[in-house]
Order: sequence, then structure tokens, then C-alpha cells
Amino acid sequence: MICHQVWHAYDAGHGLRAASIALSPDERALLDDLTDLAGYLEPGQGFTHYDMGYPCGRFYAFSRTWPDLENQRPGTVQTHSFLLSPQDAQLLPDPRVLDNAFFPRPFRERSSPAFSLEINPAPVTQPVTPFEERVRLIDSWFGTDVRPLILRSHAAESVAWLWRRLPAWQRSRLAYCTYTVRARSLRHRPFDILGAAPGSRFSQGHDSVPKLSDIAREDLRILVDEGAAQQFWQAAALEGVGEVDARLWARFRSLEKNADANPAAALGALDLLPAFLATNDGVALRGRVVDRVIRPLEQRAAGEQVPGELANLAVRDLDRVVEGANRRLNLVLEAFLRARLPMLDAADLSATAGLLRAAARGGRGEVIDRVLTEVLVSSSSAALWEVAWMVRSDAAWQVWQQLPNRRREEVGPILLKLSLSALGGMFPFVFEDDDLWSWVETRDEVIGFVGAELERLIAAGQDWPPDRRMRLPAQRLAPRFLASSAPLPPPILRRAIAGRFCEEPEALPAAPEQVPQWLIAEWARYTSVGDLGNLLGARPRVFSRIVAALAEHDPNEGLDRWEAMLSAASGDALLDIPGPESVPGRADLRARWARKVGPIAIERYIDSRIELDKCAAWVAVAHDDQRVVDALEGVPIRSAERVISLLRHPMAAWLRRRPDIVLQAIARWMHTDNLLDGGGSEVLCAFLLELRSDSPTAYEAAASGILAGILEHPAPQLAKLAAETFPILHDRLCKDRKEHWLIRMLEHLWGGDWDRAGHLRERYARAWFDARWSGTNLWDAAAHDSRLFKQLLREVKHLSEGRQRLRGIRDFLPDSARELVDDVL
Amino acid sequence: MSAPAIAVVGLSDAGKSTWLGALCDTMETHIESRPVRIEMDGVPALFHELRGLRDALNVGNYPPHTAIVHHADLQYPLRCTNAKGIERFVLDVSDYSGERISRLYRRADSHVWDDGWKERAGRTRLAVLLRADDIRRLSRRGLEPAAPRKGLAHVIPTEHQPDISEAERHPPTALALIEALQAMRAWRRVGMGAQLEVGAERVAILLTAWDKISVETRNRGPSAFLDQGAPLLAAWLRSNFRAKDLRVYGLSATGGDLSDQTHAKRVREVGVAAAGYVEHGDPMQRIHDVSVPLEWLLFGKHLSDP
Repeated sequence: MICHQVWHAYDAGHGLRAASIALSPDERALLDDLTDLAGYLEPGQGFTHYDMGYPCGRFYAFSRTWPDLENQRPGTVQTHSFLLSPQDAQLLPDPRVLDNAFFPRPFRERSSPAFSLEINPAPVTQPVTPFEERVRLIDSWFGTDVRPLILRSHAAESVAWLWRRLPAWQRSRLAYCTYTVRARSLRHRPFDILGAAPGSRFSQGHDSVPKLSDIAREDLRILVDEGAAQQFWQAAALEGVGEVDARLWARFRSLEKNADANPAAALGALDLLPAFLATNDGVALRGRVVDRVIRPLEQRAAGEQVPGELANLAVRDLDRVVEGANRRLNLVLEAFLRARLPMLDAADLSATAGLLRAAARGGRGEVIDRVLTEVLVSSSSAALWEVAWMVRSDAAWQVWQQLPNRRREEVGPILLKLSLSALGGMFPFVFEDDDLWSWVETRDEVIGFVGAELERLIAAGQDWPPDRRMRLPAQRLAPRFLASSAPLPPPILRRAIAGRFCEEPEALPAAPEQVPQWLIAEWARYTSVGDLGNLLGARPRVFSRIVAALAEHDPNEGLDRWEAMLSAASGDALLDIPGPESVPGRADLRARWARKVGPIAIERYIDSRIELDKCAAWVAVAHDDQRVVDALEGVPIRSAERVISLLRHPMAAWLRRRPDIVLQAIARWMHTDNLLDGGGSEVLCAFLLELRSDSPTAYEAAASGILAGILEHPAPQLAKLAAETFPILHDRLCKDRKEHWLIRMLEHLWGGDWDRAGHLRERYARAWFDARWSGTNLWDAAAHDSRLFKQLLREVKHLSEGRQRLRGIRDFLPDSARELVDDVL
Repeated sequence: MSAPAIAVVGLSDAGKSTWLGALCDTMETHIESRPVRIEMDGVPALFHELRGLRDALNVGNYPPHTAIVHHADLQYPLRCTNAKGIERFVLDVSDYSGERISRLYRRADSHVWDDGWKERAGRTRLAVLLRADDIRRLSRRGLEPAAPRKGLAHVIPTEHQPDISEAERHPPTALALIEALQAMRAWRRVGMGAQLEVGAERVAILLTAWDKISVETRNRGPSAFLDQGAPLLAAWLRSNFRAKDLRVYGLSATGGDLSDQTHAKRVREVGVAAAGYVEHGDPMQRIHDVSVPLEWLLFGKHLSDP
């Protein structure tokens, strides 16, 4: 099989130095990135080499990376890669067959040409892994979005094991790395970090293959342990402590026991302290050391009275001792925490929390926070988060806020459980954090957990109402509770949910039948009208159910609330407020409701131009004419058509008895342009016709008002109305108004049905005559239509002195009109 | 509203890590007299790498090379504290590694954006670093056997034509930076030569290794140096950014060459924060505070100026 070679090294930037084949930009970019994975190393850290394997464009890449010790710049690496076709790569029995083929190039040969090799590995042997295991294996590697898999810390054995067991076609999809990479460093890359370290479940026994996520969690934990332990021993070595052994421990204990009597011995004990702090006994000891040794020294340094032999030490010495002790303690505490915290289990919680509290009291909070943040970033250990939460909640909270979503999945439930259990008041801030609750709201399982936890707390008799810390989470989760098929929530939750939806009614289901009855009942009984205001506006149909529930529950109380609701309701919200038919059936109760609520309802309904049925129903039960009259007077002008509707409605029987009120309203509408919008004249004509058959007197009064209005505000749309109205009213008009009106009428009617308006011609001619207007005026009024002009002239001619008048105007007319006058004369 | 972010851009070996290390030391060195202070603003774990760079400098070594993949997460929340209050911002070194800029220059189908570029191309505050003593120019072919000539190649002598393979290996400083900056502007839909309103974007050019430049040249000021040393870049910057939004600094993050043992010893003694300096302005002034360019990028002026 053909094996292409590529070398990467640093030369004013890490990059490709030699290749035996032309690479595409994508292949080259991937190689450039992954051949320089080592990254930041702590001082003193290093590595000999690490291997990687990953799909790379047309190839599968096997590479080995060494630190580039020949380069002047520290931190640089050199990488040798073999590129095989995926088909060839599948045939490799084990990546380790290439072990001897990797070699670093000397500095001066970095850019020398590279050549392809031909290799002949051992005959391919298909894996003999049982089918079930293979399925589990593939599931564990590839049953996740996280890819490719990167192994850590000398995991070459694991890689080989895996490679041998994977079917050939899956090998080319595997990606591995035997180097440690910090997980968060791979953001914006198509990779994520998962680990397999020596000693992990994965690499210890291959009899069972766990899910990939389990592997990751377990191995990360172990790796953190390894790193922490290493740092601990480094710190211990710096302090000259070396390994902890029983003799040191015994010596320390004896010195420490005599600390009161012999402070100098206590100071000697300090030198041994680091070793013991790494043990469980040391944890308990820490508090005593602070009390007996450090604190007196610090007191002495501060110039306070210190009894015993400590007083004989020079202040300078004490300062030095205190400073040294502090420094050592900080170092050792840090090392201890790094070693111990990742391995915490529930049994250690109390002791560890005690240690941390004591250390924090001793001014070492900064050390604790530093270690905690570093450890928590990669830990999902419930015990660790709990102890952090208990002792250094600010630090834990900062870490949480900086965690990526993937980690929040693991840590979030832990924090929630801790927080919800902390009704003692330790962590109120968590309940106010939108970040956390926004995350919670998207997680079904967490919702269930929170609900159960809330119920448990309620059952345990926790204070309510209303514990603010419990109300907030319940409110945040309210929509999810509705969406779930949860049984009846406990009272505190019901109250919280009801309140939440009053604040944010848009979160409610649009269909009222989807709102559970318990929620309706909650609103009806316990929520104030003011709080229900938003709900009324956004979900009126839900609101109507509330009112119905209220009436059913307690009519007496409901009376006041209904009245208040009607007053508060506006616009379309009234549409769904139930009518009087929903009042309970008892006659006396119904009458009370009608007396109290009816007038308000009528007023509101008419005012809102909606729900005439309900309005009529209320009129029927309220028997309060005056209310209706008052209300009708206030009907908004635009709703003229509503009056007409009213007239046709069962309610009209009542309204017809009081046309004066209707007409008053109409007279007011006439003075606005609104009437002319949207067929207002049609509406008024219809109204008049209705009225004429019912009440001629009222009709005339109305027509008079309309005519007056038209004269005030002439408009083409009113012509028809005026044509209907004028014959009745003509005789009542004063002369000036009549003439003026006639002219207007003719103007309006000219383009319309003149013949139908023929009965007006005589009147118009007379008006023209009486007003002594000019001939031009008449000619203009006829719109220069000779036929109509002649008709008008004939009307004038028949009047007394009509002929003379026509002769008088003749000379002032244009020639064409003058001929018409001559004809008529 | 999220805090403003300052992106650090520069080719490999431009001195980004050295400046960041010196910056870290400056942030953690308390100087009473300093009216404006740039400080870290986040949990200590976030600044782990930054402190590593600082530690290397303070023992007299240049910081190690930063691996490409690690650039992805190098964002540091900082804050600027002054008499008027606190301004929070993010210093973003991510994804602008020298290798990536070179790659951008190299690729024929350039501006293939990965998510990191997309996220950060919106940065409008840029600190562009280039080494004053190593401004790489476009390599010429020299006297090679004549290749088939096309187009303008007829009129350009062979020895003056660009050496493409060498340019790919070591992109010319000005061209690569212009390519990167132009690509970022293109992503923001800012056209070539378009000058946004004053303050909409700011670019600080940091000429690193400033101490290696001769005194006479230094005395003419960093702007004059850029005009002379990288005329194409200078012209491009002046035609794409308003004068008020462009400032050139001479930066010596370590105050001298750490390979000189005398100077390395001095840095070990006084710390890199005290040794480093920037020079700017006309008349030129020297300030022993390498965070000054950040201050200008944030506010458009030096708050400490009278």
C-alpha cells in the first residue's frame, strides 16, 4: 500500500514543511491544526511524543508529534504524518505497525523533499469480536454527536485494542490522540474531547464497553485525579516533605499535642503539616492547627499579647514564621485540594466542608476559590459541587455561569437539587438567576425533578405562603407544568402558577379548554381583579371561565368581583365575559346580580359596541331604562351602525319607545366626518326608514336633524339621504336655508337620477327665483345641460313675473344658453 | 449589551505572546501613580495561559509558541478602571494566530470562514502587531531560468516577479495583514476603501521589538517608520480607516532583547511590566505601560493624558 509522508514544523509559524503529495486546502488546514496540538505546557511539563489518527480529506492520517528541541522558540513541535487512503488504513491490523516508521527530521532537513513509501503490513485479519460486543462498541464510539474521539494520556494500548476490535469500515472513522488536551481549548473545531486514561474503566477491562458518555465522565475524573496528585507531590517536594509516612504522622501528632506547653515544638509541627494535610486526619487537624499555632503567631505579629514562650520570639522571626507558614499552608492546601477534591464522595463531604470553612476563616479563601474553579470546570461530581456550593458558593456560581451548555447538562441538576434543598436560606441568589431557570425550562426531566422536589418540601411542612425562593422557580416553570400531564399541583405551586400567568398570560394555551380546571379555580378564588387584568386582555375566553367559576363558587363574593371585572374589561375582552345566563339559577340571586351588575354590563356593552345579545339580556334582567339611555348617549360616533343593529334587535322594542335618545345621539354623530366613513349615510337612511314606519313623529324630528346636519356639513354621500328627507321637511325650512339647501341638493343630484328628483325641480326653480340669483347661476346649476336647463326655465316661466325674470337674465347668459331662453320664452 | 472586544491580530513571531505576557504582568503589578488601570476581570482559571506567558518573561525567557488549536479559547475578560468608572471589555487573541492569517493569505479560495472567524470578524477594535525589525517583503524569484511568460510578466523582469512558493511559505507581512483585515471587513460588509464614521472602528498598529530599531529611526516616530517600512500597509490603513481611528505605537514589551543576558537579568529583577514600554505621538513620548494601546482602543484617547 502507498503511504504518503508529510512533515510539519515551526519556521516563523507552525506549518507544512514537506509533503510527498499535493494537499487540498482543507486537508492542509486540518493537518496544520492537528499536528500542533500540544499547546500550552506548564513550566517543567513536557512529553516525549504522542500519536494521532484521524480522517483527513482523501486520506486517513497517522501522525506522531515530538517537541522540537532544535528550534530556538520554546513550545514548538515537529510532526511526521503518514497519509493512507481510507481503504488502506482499514487494512492496517493495528496503528502500532507504523511505530518504527515515524522519525523526526533534523532541523536543516526540514524542508527537504518528501517521498511516498510502499509498505506491506501483515495480512489483514478481520476482527473476531462477537457481534453483540461490536454493536456496543460501535454504539459507544459513534452513537454520539461528539466526534472524533480523542484519547488521552498514554492511551496507545487502548487505541490498539479498539482498532483491532472495530470492523474495517469503522476504523477509518475513528480519530484518536494519545495526548492530553484541555477540553475547552477545542471550541470552534469539529472535535470534542473525551478521554481514556490508564486505570480507567475503559482501559482496565474490555469485557464490557460502557456508553461513550460514561467513559468520558469516568476518565475525566481519573485524569483530574492524576493531575492533582502530580501537582500535590510537586508541591510537597518543593516543601521538602516528600512522601507521607506513618512516622512523620506520629511525630507531628506528638508535637502538636505539646503545642500548648511548648510553642517551639508547635512551630516544628508546622514543618510537617503539609504531609498530614493530605490525609483525612489532617483535614480534621487543620482547624486545630489554625487555633493553636497560626493564630497566636498572627496575634503576635499584630502586636497583641501572646502568652507563653511565643512571646520570646522576635517579632521579625514571627513575621517570617507566619509568612512562611502561610505560604506553606497555601501551597499545601492547594495541593491537597487538587488531589482530594476530585475524589470526593458523599462520606467526605462533612469533613471536607469543615476543612474548607476553617481554611476560609483562616484567610485562605483565595486559594480555595482558585482550586475549586479549576476543578469544578471539568467536574460533574455531585459531592464536589455540593461542597463547593456549601462553602464557596460564589466561586461555584461563577464557574456555573461560565460552563458551556454541554457541561450544564451534567451540573445543572446537581445545583438545582442543592438549591431547592436549601430552604434554610443559604443560596437565595440561585433562585433569581435567569440563566439557570432559562436552562431549566428547556429540560423535561429537570421539570419533573423540580416538581417532585417542591412537593417533597411542601409535604415536609416548609413555610408557605409565600416563600419567595419557592415561588420564583415555580413561576418560571409554570408553562411546563401545564404542558405536562402532572396531577393537581400542591397549593403553593398552584398559587405561583396562577400568578405567573397573570403576569405573562401569553404563555397560556390559546384554547381555554386546555387550561386546567384547578387553575381556573385558583384564579377565581384567590387572585385579585387587578392581577387578572393582563389575563383579561390577552385571554378573554379563559377569563370568562374564571368568572363562571367564581359565580358558581360564591355568588355573594362573585358579585363584587364581577362588577370590578366588568369595569376593568375593555374592548374585545368583553366579548367573552359570560352573560346573565351564567348567574346561578335562584331567582333572588339573579335579581341581585341584575340590579348590581346589570347596569354596568349594559353600559359597558353598549360602550364597546359588542355583544348585543348579552346587552339585551342584561336589559331584560336589569329593567333600568335610564341606564340604557345614558349609555346610548355615550355611544361612540363611529358605531352608528350599531344603533341600527339595535333597532333590528330584540332590544329595539325598548329603544323605539325612546327614539328621542337615539336621535340625540344621531344629531351628535352628524357633526363629525366619521358618519361619512364606511357608509354612514346608508346607515342613517336605514335608520330613518325603520323609524318612519314605527314613529312618524320621531322620523320627522330625525330627518330635521339630519337635514340640519347636511346643511352644516354638505357631502355627496348624504345626497340620497337628503333627497329622501327633504320633501317632508321642505315646508319647515326657513327661506334662506331652503334656497341654500336647494342649490346643494341639485348639485348633489345632478349626476344621479334627475327624473326621480323631478318633484324638486319646481321647488328649485322657485328658490332660484326668490333668491334673485343670476342666469349664470342657473345655467351653472344645470351643469350646462340644455335639457335640464330648459326644464328649470319652464318652471320659472310659470311663476308670477317669471317671463320678465327670464328676459332679465337672457343677456347675461352665453350664446348657447341664450337660445334656450328664447325657445322657452 | 455585551462588553466590547479587542482582537489581537498578527503573524507568527509578531510578538503577540510576549505582549500578552507583559500585559499580564502590567495588570498584576500595582502602581499607585497610574491613573488608569487595566485589570483582569474573571475567575483566575481563565488567565492560566496568560500567567504562563508572564512567568516565562519574568524569568528572562520569551514565551513559548502557542499551538494553533489553543487559540480557539484565548479570550480574556478585562476591565479598565479609571476615575470615571469601570469599562469592561474582552481581549480576544483567538483564531488570529499567525498560522491562520498565513492560511488566509495562502488559500486561493480565501475567506473560507470557520466558526471562530465568523464569530470574531465583527470585532471593531483591533490591535495589529508586526515586528518592526522583521517586516517580511514579497520574495522575488531572482535570476532563475526563464519560465513561460504571461500577461504583464512580459514587461516585468524575471528577477522582479514574485516567488509564489516562498510567499506561501512565509507570507509577506503587509500583504498577509491586509488580506486578513480586508477579509474581516468584508465579512462585516464594509467595502474596500470605505471609511466608517469616527469611532466605529479603531486600529492600533503595534510595531513590536521597537527597541531593536536604530535610535535615529525611532526618533522619527512609529508612524513614519510604518510609512517607510510597510508603505503598502500604511497606505491601505490610511485609505480604509479615518485618521482619528488609527494610531501607530512602537512597542517594546520587554524593553530590550531577552537573549541579551544583561537585559534578561534586569527583567528578572524588576519584572517585565517595569521594563516594557510603548512610544507614540509627535513629539514622541515613551510610556512604561504596555496596556496603553488598549486604553486608546477602548476610549479613542489616553485617559491619563492631561
